[in-house]
Amino acid sequence: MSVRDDLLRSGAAVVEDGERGFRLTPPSIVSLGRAVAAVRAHGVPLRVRGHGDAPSTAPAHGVLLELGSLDRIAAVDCATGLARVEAGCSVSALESAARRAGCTLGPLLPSVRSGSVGAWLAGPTRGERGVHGSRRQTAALTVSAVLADGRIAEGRSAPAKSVGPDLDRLSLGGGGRLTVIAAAWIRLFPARGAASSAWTCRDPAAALAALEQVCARELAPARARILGGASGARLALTWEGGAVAALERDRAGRMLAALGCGSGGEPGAWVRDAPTGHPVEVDARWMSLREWSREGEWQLFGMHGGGAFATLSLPEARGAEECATLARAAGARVIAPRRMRDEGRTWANMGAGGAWGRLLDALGLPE
Amino acid sequence: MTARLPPVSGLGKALRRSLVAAGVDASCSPADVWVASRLPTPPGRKPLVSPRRADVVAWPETAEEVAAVVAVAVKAGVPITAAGGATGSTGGAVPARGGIVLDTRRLIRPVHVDARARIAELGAGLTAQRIDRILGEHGMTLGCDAVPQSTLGGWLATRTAGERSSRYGTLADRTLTLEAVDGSGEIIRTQEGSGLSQLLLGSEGTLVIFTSARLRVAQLPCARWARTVRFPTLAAGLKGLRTVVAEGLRPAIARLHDPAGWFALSRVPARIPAPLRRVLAGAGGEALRLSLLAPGLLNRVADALPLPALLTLAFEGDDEDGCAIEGAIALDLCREARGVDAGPVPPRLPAPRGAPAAREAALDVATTWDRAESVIREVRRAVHDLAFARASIAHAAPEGCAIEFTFLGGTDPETQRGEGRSSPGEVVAAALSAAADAGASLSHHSGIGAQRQLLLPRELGEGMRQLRALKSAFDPHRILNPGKLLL
Repeated sequence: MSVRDDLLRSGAAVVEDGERGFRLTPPSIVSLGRAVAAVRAHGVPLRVRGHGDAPSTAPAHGVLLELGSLDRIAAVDCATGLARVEAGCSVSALESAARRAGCTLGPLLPSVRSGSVGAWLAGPTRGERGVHGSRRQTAALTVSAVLADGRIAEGRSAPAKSVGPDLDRLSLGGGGRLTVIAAAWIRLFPARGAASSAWTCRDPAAALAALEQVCARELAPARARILGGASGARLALTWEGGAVAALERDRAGRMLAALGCGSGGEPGAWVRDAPTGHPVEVDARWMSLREWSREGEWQLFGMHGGGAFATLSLPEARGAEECATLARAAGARVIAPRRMRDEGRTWANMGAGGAWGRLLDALGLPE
Repeated sequence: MTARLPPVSGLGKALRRSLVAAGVDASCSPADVWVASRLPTPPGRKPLVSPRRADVVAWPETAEEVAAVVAVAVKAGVPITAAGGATGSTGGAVPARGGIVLDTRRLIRPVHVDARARIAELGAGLTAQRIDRILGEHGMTLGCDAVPQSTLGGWLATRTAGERSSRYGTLADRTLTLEAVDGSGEIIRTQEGSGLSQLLLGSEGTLVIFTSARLRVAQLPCARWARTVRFPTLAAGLKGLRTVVAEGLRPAIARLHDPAGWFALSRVPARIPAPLRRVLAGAGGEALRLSLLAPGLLNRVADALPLPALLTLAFEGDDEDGCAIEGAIALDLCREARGVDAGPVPPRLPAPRGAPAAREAALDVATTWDRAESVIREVRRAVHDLAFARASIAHAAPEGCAIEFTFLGGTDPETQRGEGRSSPGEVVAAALSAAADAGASLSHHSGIGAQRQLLLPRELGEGMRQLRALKSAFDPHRILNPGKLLL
């Protein structure tokens, strides 16, 4: 039986696409399971795309799995702080639904906001974002993952389980290599007022060093913006989460004053504005963020003791390529735009190359 | 009466020779093998030994020596069970099929604390007691408060949470990188942010043996605020506690006792009619022991009394004022859920009124907030006639919580003496099955080990196939801790 015949039997819409490839749109998770099984059985290349995600064409002689029809939001419950959503749903649609229920996903990188939930979880950020206490945590409480044979694996939704290895880690950040994420339980934050303040610092490096100290004290803000200029740097921070936000802002304010930062008043909407220029997004350690440039602009999310996700942009005339080159030179990993994305660390880099090969074999996946 | 230990096996002698030749200290003496093969037993109970005890015990001191032990095991075709402080409650570190017990307690290097970066690099064999001392010297803490003899390797292997996880996060939250040896003898050194660390945590010695870890540590607190809050019902208490953590507060201690838990505490609430209060107040251990002969009756009494739920809250940090403000915010949130400030926490909460002779068993499960009350109800129903059950919410996160059950009653399986008609093992099995049916996860921080593994397919479903694939990947010779996690 041909690939096309098997794909048609999955119940998904099939159209020819790209260089002798197929675009496949499953209408349900069951159909997605059948489609993945057919693709894996024939050993053809597979790409996964959700709402608003790249890539847009099928690989040569392969299949583009278009999850745009799997965009249902089954539940949004602010009382439990959880939402059940299919992988093809856009992050912005989920955020809108969460806002209507009095919750939020929290501040996210622009590339994450414009993509699908599946791309967010399977992408380089692994669905991670900042949580109180200067920690980064994946937004997915559990994921529903399609295995190579089309079966769906999903663990119990519970926090901090001690029930063997965390199998969701085979899906999160995996780019669809080992499993295809079909749906997930997503953690939500209560949508409460924010507390913002601005400071002035000697230069961007000083602002970043001060922010690192704030994060080390487990007072990481939800978002930060730093603008370098000839006369110094401007630092604006926002904490979210009701009464706790103001408490953490005041504590951080005392720290920043002790570190030599001057009060800059109320930042207004500036801390939330879209970045200027041609930004790139990175996952970086604090040292890399300090060494990137002295005159650019930093917007930071998911801050923790070790580093942060950031959009970095240089003055308008300088392109994203230069921005990315400087970021790499400083040791940061570029994660967006997609065409510039750096490969993540492989298991082979960590002495687990043999285990990786055996895992692919055991899961019935091609090298 | 003493029993003679079984003689040294021929296999044990041969393995010891191979291990010593590979440069690893090892022993096959009956006493060492007996100690390494003990089953988890509560204090005061006669220790039991695995029916398929170890043949030899090895004490490697480096990752390279652990790899050498793996090489010996592969060549001889015998299993390796990694064990640390032997404090686990699920039998995860007890040899199920003989072979080598790899005692991790000499893996005590590296010991490096960077107080400025708040990072500690520690050997997997270090005990909680030593880690607390090492970090304390630098003004740091992990916030674990684990059993003093337990080891870092054991925490990593079970992905334990730590007593104060609501404030400091779980051990998984604090793990940056790991060093481990897999079943092919490869030394794996994970990199920060790779995801591989998080995948290997909690594998209970079935995929890798941890040798060291880099962990994020926190500043040792110097100020503390603590209070108790009384709620009219368990549901109100759950709502109050959930609101506290969802709003971003991070209490160091957040423990909510269900009404049965309150009943088991020494203090007797004032709302109970005076004659009954006197009876309860006078009911000492012997009365409880007798009442546990009919645990169903005791459970019914606890259910019928108008008892409140009691929340213990504590905040800690580096300034008194900050802790007090956090506490005040938490009290306000609790009041919205009908919580009433019940005053400061006693220096030490009264111990349960369990009689010394009462058989006690414990169970921890995890679940989301919407299921917590039904999980407690179903577990209490399942053990209603087997043991007196009380529950407490011991770890709270915005998306869910851990529930710890304590069961009083049951018969000692060896002596056939004690209260009730069932052994503690049967009570826990019934409770675990009921919790799983009600949607709870099988363990929050104790692991699966040998004791809970039969229910693992209900927990993981098709994920069992992924688990077996991971076993094939990291342990191709299937020598690491067989008989656990259904692997």
